[in-house]
Amino acid sequence: MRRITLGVLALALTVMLMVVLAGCVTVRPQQRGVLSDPIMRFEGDEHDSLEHGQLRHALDNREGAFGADGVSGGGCGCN
Amino acid sequence: MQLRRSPSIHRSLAARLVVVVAAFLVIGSWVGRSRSEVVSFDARSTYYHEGTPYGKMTVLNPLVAIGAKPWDFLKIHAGWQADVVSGASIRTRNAQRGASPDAISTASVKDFRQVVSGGFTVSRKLTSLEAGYSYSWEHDYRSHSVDVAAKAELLQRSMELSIAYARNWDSVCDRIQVDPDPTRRLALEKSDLCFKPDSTTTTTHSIAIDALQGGWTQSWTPTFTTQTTVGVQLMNGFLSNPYREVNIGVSSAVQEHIPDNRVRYAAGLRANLYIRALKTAFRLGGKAYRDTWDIHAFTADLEAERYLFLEALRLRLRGRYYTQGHAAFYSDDYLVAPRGQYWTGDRELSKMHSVLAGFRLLYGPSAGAKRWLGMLEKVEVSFGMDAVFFTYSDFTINGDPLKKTAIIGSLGLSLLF
Repeated sequence: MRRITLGVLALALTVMLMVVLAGCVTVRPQQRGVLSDPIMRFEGDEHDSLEHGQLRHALDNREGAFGADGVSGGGCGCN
Repeated sequence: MQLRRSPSIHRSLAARLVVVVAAFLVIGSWVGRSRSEVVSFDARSTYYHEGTPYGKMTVLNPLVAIGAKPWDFLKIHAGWQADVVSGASIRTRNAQRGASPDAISTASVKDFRQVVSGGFTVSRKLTSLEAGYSYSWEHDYRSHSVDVAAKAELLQRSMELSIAYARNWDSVCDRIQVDPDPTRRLALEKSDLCFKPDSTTTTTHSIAIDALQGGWTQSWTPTFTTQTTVGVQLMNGFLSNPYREVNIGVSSAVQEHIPDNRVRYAAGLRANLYIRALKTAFRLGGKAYRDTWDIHAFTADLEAERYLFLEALRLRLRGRYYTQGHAAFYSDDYLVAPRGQYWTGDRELSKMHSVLAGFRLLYGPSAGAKRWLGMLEKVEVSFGMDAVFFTYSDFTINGDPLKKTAIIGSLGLSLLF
């Protein structure tokens, strides 16, 4: 139990540290040429998102795990 | 499960599809002549084929999706997809007392599952709200699902936070049991009478599923982004496969019996790095999973994607490794090693791992300022192929782990108007 508590505490601290560091980072709009490309988006464009969904559908039915497969977009500011 | 489709159903579905496509095109041409990508149309299909020494299974998964943006702040979408399943699956292991300890009986499986869905997205400059509904049905299972999601971009769009919630109201068919004692329950034989109001041999059980997911996407540099996701899913209801039988040592095999509740937790971290020298984007991801059935799982995946020769052609290579432990109540043989009040013959609840390798090629030229046929902005055609190697180390047949190989092929067409 003590190990689990320490693990959760370490994870929470890591996430908090990342959030704080994220506040110091700004990628300016003119620097987002690469980030706005479909190959740099986590679920790609809509076409890619549908394809990911179909592959997940095939695998989820054959494995015990599920979820946390990511979200579309990527904060690229490309809209 | 029987496959029963009449030509009139096909014609009816095709007619509805044509009407929906025409409606979206009319909306697009009416409100958005001067804007780009007002209407999108996607048609895709995957072909899944697996083989084991005990039979083959094929699943065709066609999909049609249409989206329209009648105004800049609103996007509506609708879709249809299906699973056409045929082949043989393992129905019973260790079925009969006195028979070979690893006797296998297979069942012919034919099924046709359909899903219709629709929804909308309302976007403002830095936020968006999404809502959707889907309904799926097959001979022995029905599902209503509602989902909502919200996204917000912060820190000059370097950070995106998202949250999504989905709720399912599902129904599964089962045999009316003469004796409710789990050790005397019998498996459902066939789905012919499922969901028929006058059926005297079948009944339905409800399943409620709630899923919540949060995501944080962060751009750290002009070529490096990460995404962290956490999710929890609560399932409650009849979660067994009504057809599956397990020999637990009574006179004959009985219906699978597993807990009515399951809480699943997952957390994932993915990183996306573009290496300019190689002109290639690399995606590395890891996901940890555990649930209240004591299944622990881990997934690692790596993808590389780049443009080939010209900007319209993209190649993606991917690899994936998945491993899981078995559920607390899973046993390879309940006669030798019983696990208390629950029993299952589900190999997806056993200790297993899988390895996936594949590629996807996408060709997507843009028309530029002058649209093709006066309205077509972009066309994308894609082709992919993946091979998956499954090893069920704790699902043994005559002492050997069950292994199977699956091929997943995909074809896609996307049109942007």
